[in-house]
Parts: sequence; structure tokens; C-alpha cells
Amino acid sequence: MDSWRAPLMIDVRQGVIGSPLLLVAFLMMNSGSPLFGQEALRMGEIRGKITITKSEDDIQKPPPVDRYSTHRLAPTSMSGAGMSSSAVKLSERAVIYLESQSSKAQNFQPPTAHPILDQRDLAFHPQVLPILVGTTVEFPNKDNLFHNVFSYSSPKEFDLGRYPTGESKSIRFDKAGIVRVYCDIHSHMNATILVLENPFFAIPDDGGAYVIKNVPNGTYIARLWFGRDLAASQSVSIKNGESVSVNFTY
Amino acid sequence: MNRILAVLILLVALCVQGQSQVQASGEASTYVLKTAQTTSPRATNNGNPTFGWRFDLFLDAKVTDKVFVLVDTRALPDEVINFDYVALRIVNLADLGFNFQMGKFDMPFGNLADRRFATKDFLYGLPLIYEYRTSLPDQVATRADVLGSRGKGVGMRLIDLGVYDIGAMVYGDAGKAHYAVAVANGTISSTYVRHLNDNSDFNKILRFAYTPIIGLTLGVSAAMSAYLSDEGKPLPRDQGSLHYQQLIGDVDVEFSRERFLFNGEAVYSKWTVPFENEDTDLSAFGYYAEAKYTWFPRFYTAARVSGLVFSRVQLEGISPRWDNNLVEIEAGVGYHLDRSTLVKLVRRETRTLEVIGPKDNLTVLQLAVAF
Repeated sequence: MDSWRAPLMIDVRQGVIGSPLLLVAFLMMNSGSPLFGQEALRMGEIRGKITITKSEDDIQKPPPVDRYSTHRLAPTSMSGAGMSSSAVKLSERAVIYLESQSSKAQNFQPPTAHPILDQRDLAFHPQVLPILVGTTVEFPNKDNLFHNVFSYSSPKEFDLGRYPTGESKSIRFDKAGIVRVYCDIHSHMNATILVLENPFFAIPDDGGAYVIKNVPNGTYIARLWFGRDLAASQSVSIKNGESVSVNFTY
Repeated sequence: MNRILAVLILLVALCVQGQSQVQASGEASTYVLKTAQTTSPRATNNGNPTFGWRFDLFLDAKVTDKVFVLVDTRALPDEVINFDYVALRIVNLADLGFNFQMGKFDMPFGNLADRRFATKDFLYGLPLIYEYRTSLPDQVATRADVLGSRGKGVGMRLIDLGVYDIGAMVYGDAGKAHYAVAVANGTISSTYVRHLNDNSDFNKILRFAYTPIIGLTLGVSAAMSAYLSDEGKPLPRDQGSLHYQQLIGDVDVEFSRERFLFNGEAVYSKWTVPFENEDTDLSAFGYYAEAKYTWFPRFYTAARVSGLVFSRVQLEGISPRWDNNLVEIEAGVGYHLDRSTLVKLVRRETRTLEVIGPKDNLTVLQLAVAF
């Protein structure tokens, strides 16, 4: 379980507020919004399954050989699991999130716990990290060598420099958008942070199943992000707190 | 053209193998530069401003889990395409824990590694120990020949650019230590134009590096080999070319932490030279220290100090240095236009000590792209 989601979430696979007490408080704070009026108290949910048919290489696939390991220690993964061996997990590569015009006007409270983007086995884990705007992300180094995490993406440019095993640095993301993250030392390492305007997102399990709970009534665009790209989009409406099924095939 | 075809054939051959995977990558750099108008080897195009470019194509093929083929091709203006690297590598040879490589590759000497390429070089040029051509040739020469060539850049470098040569190497890691043992054609100071061995000796190279903590690597390298060509002028005395050896040793350090990177090397080389009346040992000491600091995302500054110090040689009652001592400072700024595109503005000042004359300098704007 990702610890950063625990205080606010019932299900770590969903990005919406799950604690009933917090939910009531949250809705009271937003009671002036049509989206969160009396009707919205009946929350719906979006469930579905992602099917990936597209054959795609591991996007963090390391080069076949490190040619300069003839001069210095060859990079090895700390766990011995091998470079990005777990990177093909669907749960690390896919995110489903909702967009709507009405939710853009809302100020959602970011979680106090910090999501984690690991540097482990010479790869970023997960490869796609969805967060609510205003969230602070931790970047721990769990390899026994240096990494240098950086991004030149317009929502947040940063360069964390080099820090050793066991240390972590954090960055707060205050602007919504797509943040491409790289390692300056290991060019194959890359990840994407989706800085989202609302908390209605979910990470599927490795079988592709997902659920976004506590979605207010309204019309949304449901988007599937896979790997480094936006893979698919569908329009979806929630009425009367119903459960809606949205499946994606990519 | 034949070389281009050879690369393409190699690429295709590797791709059609069911198990192999080939990664093609490369780097292109262009620049506009202006040097001082001097006759120094540090001057380019007689001091006239000029554009230039360089292109490198890397092909790394994984044939099996243990067998790799590595190829670098390099192209410069008005030059044929060169193969800097064509090597077969076998990792964990016979499950003995060490690796084996044979072909043409960068010798395990010093710690230049991938900083020889424009996108990894903090600045524009390489340190003096890698670039500056001394007055000592790899052919038989008289004392007057050597002294008359001081500052002309017609002889050997201390470390010949990237030290690519043809040979074989065993290397590996043991805990925090790294080792490499190689034999090759040529010498550390004279590899660049050699395709086959010029004498009956092989260059023997040792390298040992130790990484006590993450971010700090200390290395030592040593090499020895006969450096004179058997095809040159006849030797003045009854000694074969094997008697005239180059002995060279190097210590290096690589340190990085946060946004600070530091590299340094110090190298000492001695050549036994068959001057006309006696064999004479000529030596040279070279060094550099370079640092880079990233102030904020995309933008960094870097600087390098490097120098060469030459020993003295007796000539008609005086003892001049056999080449002019040099000190060079190179400093610049770099800005990443995007992840793979770097633009650099660099200024270099070179001082030839003990010689009154024009001062060398260089100003260059370089654009480098990795792909």
C-alpha cells in the first residue's frame, strides 16, 4: 500500500476522498458550488477495466550495455532484481482520471501525506504518478548509486541534484499539467507526474480493474493515461449517484 | 562510403538475428568559434572565425545475454567517417565473474569516459593532456628537431584524445573496486591514426578504481609500451625500437554531490628518446581540474584549469624545456534547451609560459544534441 494515500483514502486504488467524516467536511466547505449541492451528496462511482492490446516496449528499458563500465563500477540494482524488471506492471503504468469544467473551479485540499516516486533498480516507480495539484511528492533514492532527478516541464521545472541511498527530496507541484521526470545520469529513466485539478483519479490493479468512488453527479471526460501518453478518452455522466461502467481498450 | 555500408550491414545483420536487440543512438554538435591569430596548435583556422560540426553514431547490440557488439562512428568536416569503437564484449566470461572485450575501444586509462562527447563535456574542448600535441614525434628525431618544434603542435599528445586503439581487455568489479587490464597496439600518447601495430611491442595498460562512497571514485592508471615506429628513420644506435619505451601513470578523481560535479586528473609520462648522441629521458607532467555547478534547472556554469610541464634537455650548454609549459583556463555557461539539447558559450585562455608572444584564446558557441 502506498502510505501517502492512506489518511484520505479508503481504497488506495482510487484517488477520491474516502473518509466519511472528511467527506462531509469537504462538502460543507464547497456547498456553494452546483457540483456539490444537495444533489451532489449522492455520490456515484465509475468502474471499469483497462485492456491493453498494444504491444509496447518497456519505456524505461535500459540500454543493452553500459559501455563506460570499463572505466568504473558498473551500475547494478540494489535489490538485484534487475533494471526496471517490474516496470511492466499495469498498476505502475496506467492511470484513469476525470476532467470536468465544473471541477476546475474547485479548490480541493491536497493530501498531507506525500506520494512517493521511487528511484529503485535504475528505474522510476511508478512510471506514472497521479497527484492533486498542490501535492508534495517525495523522491527517495533507493539505489546504491547516485541519481539526478530533474524536469524541464512547464508546470514545474526542478533539478534535485545528486543524493545518496536512503535520502529523499521533495517537490510541491502547484500547477496542473504533465510533468516529465528524468534522471540526468541514467538517460533511460523516465516517469510522468500527472498534476490533476481534482482528486477523481484511480490507479488500476494489475488486472486492469479500477474504481473511482465518490464522484459527484455531473458530466466528465474520463481519460486513460498509459506509459508516457494519453491513450484514450471517453465522455461519462454520473446521475443520481449511480455506478457507471467505463472500459478502455488500448 | 564503404564504411557507411559496413555500419549499415552490421546493423542489419544484428537486427535480423532473432535474439539480438540493437540500440542506435548518437550525438550531433555544431559550433561557431574564434581563436586568437597565432601559430599555436591551440589556434583554429588561423584565427579566422569558423563554423564546424561533429557527428557520432553509436550502435550497441545485445546479441545474447552475455555477448554485445559496440560501435561508434565519428564524422568531422572534411574527414572520412572514422570508427572509434568496434568491439565485441563478453560479460561474465565463462561465469568467472569478469568481462572480456576485444576490438577497437577506449583504453582503460584515466577517467574521461563519456565526457569526450559534447553533450557530456561541461565545456567545449578537452583538457590539455588530451588535446595538446607536444614537440616529441613518434619517429626518430634529433634534439634540434624536438626543440625546434616547441609550440608547433606536431608531435604526440600526452594522452591521445579518447585513447581509442585496437586491443583486448579484461575488466570487472570486486565490491567497491574496479579493475581493468588491457593490451593494445600503439601507446597512450600515440593511438589516433594507428590501425595496426607500428612495432613488435604491445601497450600494457592497468587501471584500478575505488569508490569508497557513492559519488567519489579514485583511480590510478599505468601503461608502458615502445612508442617508435619501425617504419621511420633508422635508430642511431644498436638498440631496437623495443628499447624506447613510454612509461605513463595517471591518478584521477571524480566527485559529485547535489548539483556540484568535479573531475581531476594528473598524469606523468616519460619517454626514452634516441637522440643523436645519447639516449635521453624526456618527461612531461600534466593535470586538470574541472567543476560544474547547476544553479537552477537548465543552467550551469563550469570551469577547468589544466596545464602541462615539460622536463629540460641539454643543448649546447643550456637546458631548455623540450616543449613550452602551458596553463589553460576554460570557463563557460551551459543551458539545456530541452532534455537532449544543450547550448554552451565557452571562453578559453591559454598561456604559454616562458615565451613572449601572442596569447591564445578561444570563444565558442556550441549546440549539442543527443538522440
